Amino acid sequence: MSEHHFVFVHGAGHGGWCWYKIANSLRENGHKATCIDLKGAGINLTDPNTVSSLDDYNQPLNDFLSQLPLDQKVILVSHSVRGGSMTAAMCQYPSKVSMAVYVAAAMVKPGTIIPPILKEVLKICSGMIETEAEKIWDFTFGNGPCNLPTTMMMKPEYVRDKYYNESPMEDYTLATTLLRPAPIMAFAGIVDIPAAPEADKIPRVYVKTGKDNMFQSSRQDLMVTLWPPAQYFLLEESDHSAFFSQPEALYKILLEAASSISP
Amino acid sequence: MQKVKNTMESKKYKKRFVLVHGLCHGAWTWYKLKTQLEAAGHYVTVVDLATSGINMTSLEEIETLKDYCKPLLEFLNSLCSDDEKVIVIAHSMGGICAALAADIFPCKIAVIVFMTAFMPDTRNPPAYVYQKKKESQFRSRQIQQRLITSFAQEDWLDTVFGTYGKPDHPLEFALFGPNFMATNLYQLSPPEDLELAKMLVRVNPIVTDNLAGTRNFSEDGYGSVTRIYIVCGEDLAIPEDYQRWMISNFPVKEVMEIKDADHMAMFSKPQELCALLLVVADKYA
Repeated sequence: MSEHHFVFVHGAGHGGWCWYKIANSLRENGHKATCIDLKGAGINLTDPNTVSSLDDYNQPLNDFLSQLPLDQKVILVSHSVRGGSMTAAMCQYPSKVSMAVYVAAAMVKPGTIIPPILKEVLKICSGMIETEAEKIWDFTFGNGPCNLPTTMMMKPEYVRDKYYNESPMEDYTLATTLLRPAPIMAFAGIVDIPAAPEADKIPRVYVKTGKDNMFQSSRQDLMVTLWPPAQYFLLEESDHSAFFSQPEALYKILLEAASSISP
Repeated sequence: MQKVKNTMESKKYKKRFVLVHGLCHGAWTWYKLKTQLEAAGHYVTVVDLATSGINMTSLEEIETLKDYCKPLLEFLNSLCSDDEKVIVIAHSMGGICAALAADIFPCKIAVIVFMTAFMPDTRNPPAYVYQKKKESQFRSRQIQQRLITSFAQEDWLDTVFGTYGKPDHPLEFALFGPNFMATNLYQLSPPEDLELAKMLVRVNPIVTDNLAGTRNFSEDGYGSVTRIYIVCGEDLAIPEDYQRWMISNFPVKEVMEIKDADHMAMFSKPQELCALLLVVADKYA
């Protein structure tokens, strides 16, 4: 079996840790897996309140890609709103990426109009925090109360239902010890990624999550319609966190998707 | 009347466990045990000690053992006198932190369970049992004839050591290396938990005399709190002989055992560990 190198990009509030089951399965079967902590996430020691932009947030991923030897390419795998981080990285380092996998992730063609799914995030970025958002999220104002909020974190009472409704209790418990506030400035940049023809050539894979309480089915379908991927998979029984609720099935999908490209 | 009685009984039944992780680890270490104890109906608090897990204190800010234990001490401080006493479970170097907590808050702790943990006494400095492990040499004369040596630097494999702090008062830190973790800490644990740990271990201060001071813990404080020891039979980091030496050095109320557990019993034998802790809760809290 040929060896692929998978590089995982976690979702908001999460860290490289969330991919531990998938990473283990891949490594046990001879593949390489790198699980990045973006800035202010996981055990990256940056205060998320100080993250100033998408590029700043993505620095660990960009550093990793820029240091890859010339002859090496990786398969990027992203989750949730941080699909935007992956798209930005693809545009900056197209020669380093052989495939991009979006797992219940924001998949928006660079240079195009943002679909409605990201509207809530945009509103938060422009300071319009609606009552609905305030109900679910706690905000911090690292730049003072008169400026935009700098981080957002889901209130504990919503975490299980929104992120982990089909996941084992153990993984929910694990997450409660590791979730951190997500830097809001990192969201703003995903709507401004300029068009990148080179990145368009990178084969994309979309993995839809069927029982996702965070990222509704219709919104996922819309993204797939607007920027059709080369491959599409459906994890019917998965919640938003497929790496916890359907790790074996997700692992098999990654291998199947990767089989269409050479390592 | 019956309803009130039932409520009171269930309130009494629900205990609060406080879980204290070991060197380089964090609150995340306890995810399996926390889930099981909560499923059994108890309350569980897990803490990140300073510069551990997602606690963002920097190593340089930790100048004393109290600094390192601050999150644990703050939690215990927040408990009212009305609250029931807690059951503290300490792992590895976390045992010294639990002892400090008990020295400061003896009335808030019903029992400390040292799970393959360093267990100080009340005669020697807090760091004594940890430093002695580094310096001593033991021979096992049992059938397996396993020579248990101190961990010379090479035995720590890819673990990184260093110093920080002021030149006239140096402090020490460590970061477990992945090979050392696989060989000596997690050798019987599920591989996925080793993968998780490799992503989450962080540089931590080591308990030395410079960090902890040389004043021993007191009889009235730590010495007055009930202690239980859980021996982990396949621990290669703190071998069974050394665990039993610490018990003989400062005898406990009860010795329990998980024969097939490696150093990380919360990963290699979580159900057995939970079962023992439920017995402890019933008997001592």
